[in-house]
Parts: sequence; C-alpha cells; structure tokens
Amino acid sequence: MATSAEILEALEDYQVQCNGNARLRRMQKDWTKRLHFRATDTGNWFTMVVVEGEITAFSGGTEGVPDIVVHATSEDLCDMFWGDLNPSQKYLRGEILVKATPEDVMRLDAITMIIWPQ
Amino acid sequence: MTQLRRGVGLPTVIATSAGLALATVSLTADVQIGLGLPGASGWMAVLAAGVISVLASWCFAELVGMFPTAAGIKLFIEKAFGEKAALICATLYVGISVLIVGSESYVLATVLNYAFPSVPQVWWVFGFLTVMTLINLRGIAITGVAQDVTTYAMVIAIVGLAAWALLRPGAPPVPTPFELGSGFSTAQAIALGVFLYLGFEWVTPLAEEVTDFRLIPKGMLWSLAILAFVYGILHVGMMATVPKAVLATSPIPHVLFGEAALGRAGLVAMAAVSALASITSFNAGLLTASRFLYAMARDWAAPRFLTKLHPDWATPWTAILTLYGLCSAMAAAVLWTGAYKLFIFLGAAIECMIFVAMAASVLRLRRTMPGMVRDFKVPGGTLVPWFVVALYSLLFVLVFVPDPNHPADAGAQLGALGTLAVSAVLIAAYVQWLVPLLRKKAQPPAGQRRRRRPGAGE
Repeated sequence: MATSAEILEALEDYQVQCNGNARLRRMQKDWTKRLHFRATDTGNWFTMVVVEGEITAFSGGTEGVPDIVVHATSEDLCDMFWGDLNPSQKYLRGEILVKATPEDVMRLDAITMIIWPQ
Repeated sequence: MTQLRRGVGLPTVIATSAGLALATVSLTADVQIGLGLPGASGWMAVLAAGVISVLASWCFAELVGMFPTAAGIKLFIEKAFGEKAALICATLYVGISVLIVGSESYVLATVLNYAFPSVPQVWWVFGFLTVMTLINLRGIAITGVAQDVTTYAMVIAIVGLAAWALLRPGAPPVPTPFELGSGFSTAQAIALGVFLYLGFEWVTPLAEEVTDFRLIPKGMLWSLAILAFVYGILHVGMMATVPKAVLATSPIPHVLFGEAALGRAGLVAMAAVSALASITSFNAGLLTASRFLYAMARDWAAPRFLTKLHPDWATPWTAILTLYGLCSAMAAAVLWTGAYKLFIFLGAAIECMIFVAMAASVLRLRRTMPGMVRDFKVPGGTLVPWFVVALYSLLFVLVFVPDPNHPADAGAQLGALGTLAVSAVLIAAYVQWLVPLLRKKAQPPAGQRRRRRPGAGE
C-alpha cells in the first residue's frame, strides 16, 4: 500500500516527465483538464490540473470540479505515475476505473504511451 | 465520489442508444422481417424482438453496474469465463460490426444514387467512407447535443412520414396487420427483428460519463421502446404504400416508400434520414472499433503498430486506417456482388450470440462474485438470464434456417453462416496461437526489467 507522500512524490516525477516531453506537449496542446485520482484502498484523493498539455499543479485532496476521475489502488496509482505499469492493461481488466469521455480516456492513456512506449 | 463537470443526462443516453441502432441497413431489414409473414403483420415481430431485447438490456445493465467501464463486453466475459473467451467473443463482435459497414455503405450509396443519379454509386461508397474516416482521424465524435438532435430528427422524420402515409386522405388500407404467419415464419421474423436493435447496447460505455448510473438501464428501455415504435410504424407504412414484391427485391425500400407517400419531398427526406443514420452509426462504430484495436495492441493482444497515435490529435491513426482498409474492402465486395442481405443475417446472429454471452456472464458472476455490489440487478433471480440464454440460442439457430415460405434468401443465410464460422475459427486460432507469441515478444529478457519507482527493484 502506497502512502500519500509516495504518490505525491510519484506525481512530482510524472509532472517533470510530462512537461519535459516535447512530443507529448504538442499532442496535448489543446487539452485542458482537471483530474481527480482516488486510491481505492486508502481512500486518499489527489488532484492534478492540466492546462494546454502542461501539468500546472497537483496536490492531495480534491480541488474543484473534475473532468476526469480515476479510481485505482494506491500501488497502481504510484506505479502508473512512475511509468512502471501499463494503465491500458489495468483498465481493460477493470482494475483501474475512469470516469471521463472516451476522448479523455484516450488522451490519458496517450500520456503513458508517449512517455514510456513499452 | 466527485461528479464530473459535464455529466451525460437521460435524453442523451436515449439518443445515443437509439441513434446507434438506427442505421440505413436497419431500415432495409425492417422489410426483410415481414417477407415470410402475411401482409403488414411483421410489425408484431418487430415489437416482440424489442420486448425480448429489454430482457437482454437488463443483463447488460447488471454487468455495467458491476464494472462501469468502456472496456465493457470484453471485461464482462473475461471476469466470467477468462481472457481467451473474452478476446474471441469481443473480437468477433467488433469484427462482424465492421463487416456490416460494407453493407451499410452499399445501401447508403444506393439510396444517394437513387436520389442524385448523376453521382455514381461507387463515388458515394468511397466518398462516405473516406469522409467519415477523416472525421475520426481528426477526433471528432458525434456525441451529446449533436447526437440528440440527429437521433430525434430521424425519429420525427420517419414517424411523421409513416403517419402521413397511413392517415392521409385516400390512404390505402393496411393489408392484414393482425394475421399471424406459421410458427416457424413468425419465430424467424423475430430472430431477424433482433438485427433492428443491433447497437442499442453500445450505449453502455456511457456508464463512465452519466450523472447517475441508473440512467443506463432506463435509457436503454426508452430507446428500445422508441425503436420498436419507429420500426413498427415504418414497417406498416411501407407495406401499406408499396407492393410487397417491389419492397422485397430492393435494397432501399424505405426510399421507395418515401417517394410513394410524399413524392420527391418524401424521397429526399428518407435519403436524408439514411445519411444521418449511416453517419451516426459509422462514426460511433469506427470510434469504438479503432479504440478497441488500439487497446488490444496496448495489451499486446494485437500488432504493436496499431498503438501509433497522431502527433496532433491523439487519435489511433494506424488503427483507424486499418479499419478504413477493411471497411473499403467489404464495401467493394458488397458493391461487386450486391450481397447486402448476407450481413443482415450475420448481424442478427452476432447480436443473438452476444446477448447469450452477456446473460451467461450474469449467471456465472452471480456464482463467482456473489458479494460484489450490483447497482442494478436483473429481477426474478436467475430466471430472466436463463430465459435470455435459451431464447437467443434458439433465435441464433433460426437465423440460418431457410424459410420455406421465402426460400430466396437461403443463399444469404448460408453465406452468413459460413462467414461467421470462418471468422470464429480464424479469431480463435489468432487468440490461441498468435496472442501468446505477441505477449512473449513484449516481455523483456530476464535481468533487463528495471522499475523507475525508487526502492521497487525489478
């Protein structure tokens, strides 16, 4: 079980990876969304704000009204932000649940796909 | 749980479900149902198919309540019967849906060529497929208000024209609307009637977007009621207005009906309905199928090149273009042979098959996951799922049995059976032998796997 601090550390690395990837920034240039993540085993929430493809903020708890809500275990969230798991596989097996439009689900997966293609 | 900024409401759930089922080839199939029955009594088969579809929709609703995800059908079957069964069923279902596009584009092209004869049929077919593919590549989806307006406009146009044809001064009498045919013909008409509702269940991925999950079962119920009414009144209108022998041999009976009922205005109205029906069905179908291919490839169950994303639009362009190639090949085959009816039988069969798979999954998961929260539970214990399994298995078989009262379609039925059997064998072989190879290729050699997470090790 990952703690809130571990997930926030993973989010910090995720922000660096995303914002530093020129290809991803180009692809997501018109994508502005507020995301909520919920760790299903600990009940902790996290918020991430994306403005025109750039992750501008992240924090513990819920802030604002989300466009996308992701439910996963704390371990899966942590591994996903570190790029250690393929979110598509977890999603297809129902272990990660996403409340969003199909386009937003696609864009969310695209992030991992671009940063960690394997 | 926090709510999304933009949640989908009931009118959009209904419009999406009904809009996906309302395709041009469905309007053609609406006549096909009544060919073995006396007069205009086919409307009863349409209604019966709609009523039993409600039972199938309950099975979908229970499963979506357990797993509210766009991964839908594959996930439900996987949880119940394992990954191999899920891959085979889901690939067959999506694959056959793509094949039906060949028939859909052929019928649409015939409609548009009839309305505007100066443009050859082949241009309409490939023009339509190309434009729809470009729209999908750009990532434009017909959803929300656009879907609402399109669906309700089609419903109003069809019902309005049929009501006018039946109620106008001097309207011809409806031929034997309440006379039942033989038991076999009636049962087979109901089996074909299942095709009319093909796609209503594609609304289930909206479970990720709705403001309240209960809108999904409620929306499917309303959608089935609207579809039953639309197809029913259109069937009666067509049978009353145009001779049955003419309808039986035409791929565009609804257009002939529009022209007979209201002249050029009726023709153009039905051509417009056809265009809208094909656009919404194809847009959603290509969107779903391309994302399915992409997800399969991301899961190492399909070739890796299908994961390529467009650098600006984040759409799976290789998957979309692959489907464009398949759809074009199918459209060319149908254009060449004119065998569009084969796909009506094929569509009815695959819909029956998927309903059986869903009901069987409900039964299995009731035993293996009895404690899991179900936001919706099919009423009546296991009676309804068992009934759905038995009934749709029977209808599945009936789809392929030639009707002695209407033997002209025996070839199309045989072709549909052959296509389904070959597709199933190829897909099963792919899942059994090729998927493990792709997955093996995905595994890095021992000792080379390194995790980025601090302290996580290999």
